[in-house]
Amino acid sequence: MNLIDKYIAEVGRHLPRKNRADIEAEIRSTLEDMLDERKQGDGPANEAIVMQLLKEYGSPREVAATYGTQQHQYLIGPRLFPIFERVVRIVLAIVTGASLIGLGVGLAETGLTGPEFVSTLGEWAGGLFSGLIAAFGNIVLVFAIIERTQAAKEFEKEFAKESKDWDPKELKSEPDPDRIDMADHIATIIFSVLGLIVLNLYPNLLSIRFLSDGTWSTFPVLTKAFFRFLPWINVMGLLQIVFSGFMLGQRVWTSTTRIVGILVDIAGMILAVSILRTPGVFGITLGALNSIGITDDAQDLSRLFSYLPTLILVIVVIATSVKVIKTLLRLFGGKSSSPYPVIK
Amino acid sequence: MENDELVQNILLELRRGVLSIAVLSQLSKEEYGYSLLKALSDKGMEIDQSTLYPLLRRLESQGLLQSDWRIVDEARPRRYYIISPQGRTVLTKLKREWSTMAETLKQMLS
Repeated sequence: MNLIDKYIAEVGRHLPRKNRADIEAEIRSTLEDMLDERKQGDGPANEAIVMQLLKEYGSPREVAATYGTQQHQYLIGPRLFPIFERVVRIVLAIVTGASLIGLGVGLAETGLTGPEFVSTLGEWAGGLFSGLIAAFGNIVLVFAIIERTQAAKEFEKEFAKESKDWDPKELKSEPDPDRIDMADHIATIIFSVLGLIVLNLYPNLLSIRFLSDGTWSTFPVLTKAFFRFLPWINVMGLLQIVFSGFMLGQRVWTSTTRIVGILVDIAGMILAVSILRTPGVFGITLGALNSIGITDDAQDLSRLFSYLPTLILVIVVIATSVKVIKTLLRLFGGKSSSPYPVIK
Repeated sequence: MENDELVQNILLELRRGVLSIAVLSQLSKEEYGYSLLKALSDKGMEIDQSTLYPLLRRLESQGLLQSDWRIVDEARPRRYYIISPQGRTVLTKLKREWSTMAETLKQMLS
């Protein structure tokens, strides 16, 4: 085996199997043509000339790489990469959001102190890390398969169609995603202030009044067990008021305020879950109903109210999850930050 | 030194863009890789073999060239390339576009 044979064999090792023999033959033909031109007379070329020629032709890996670019030498190519990036952002945001909600529920069970709290946090961090890696791996796998099938061409067609049909008029109806919803924040402030005033100054308002035998009877809807959480509710309420007030001043969302918003939402959810998981926070029980003279449907009514904490809990968790995931999507939605201050 | 490198990089991109037209224009009669390399070089279009061969394959896969292996005059087997009918149509269009582009740039630079 002479030097040229060895060189071609080495190039072949780095070539895609499909066209290997053809490319090898072409390189051989070219090298021999080049050699013919360089050597003197009809005899075989001396080794120094061959070595010089091969040196000029390039390292085997380098030469093979110039042919390889037409083949699938990448997992996900440039035509699919933008969609891949978008899907990764969305899926990772959802995984993170779902994981944060799981953390919220976990912490509501363990509380915010003690070794259980630390181990819950540790487990959550480990779970989130492996969850993110697994999600990313699965997306890469799916896209690598799409890249190698007809589906990639369909994607390309769909995008081409979208670009062709795009109308600048659509921008008019597009709301600015960074502008805050003023009504939402004003309502948050009003209801938080009202809630804090009622819970702290007029808790008796939260009771059921009932006219029985000509006299008014009352019993509180919320029990002492609920009011044990009042300091935390106050902290949470004030936090909401301060945050919404700050956002009304800012008018637009930034990455920092979005993160703070998520943290406030999750803290609120943890508190709500902690309260709702505490037994006996609602005062509407069979005994209470009987005491005010409701006897006929008391059993059914009290059973209905016993499901109330679970129902509210489910609503709170779902609503917070949706809000957190939406915020995370905005946060990692792929919009790069402006290099200069934006005045809106 | 830094400017020289920038100039070289821009020239490289520029040449890469026009290489397809140059190669198609020289294949109205059939050539094998090395003879094409020489023909281009003789006309002042220096091109590296590591650029030319993959380019020939790409143009062929796009249907603009045809090729076959042959032994001519008892020499070694060589792959001969020639422009295809589709390649000819494309080249005519490219020539027109190139003339317009060159004219525009000439006006800009004068």
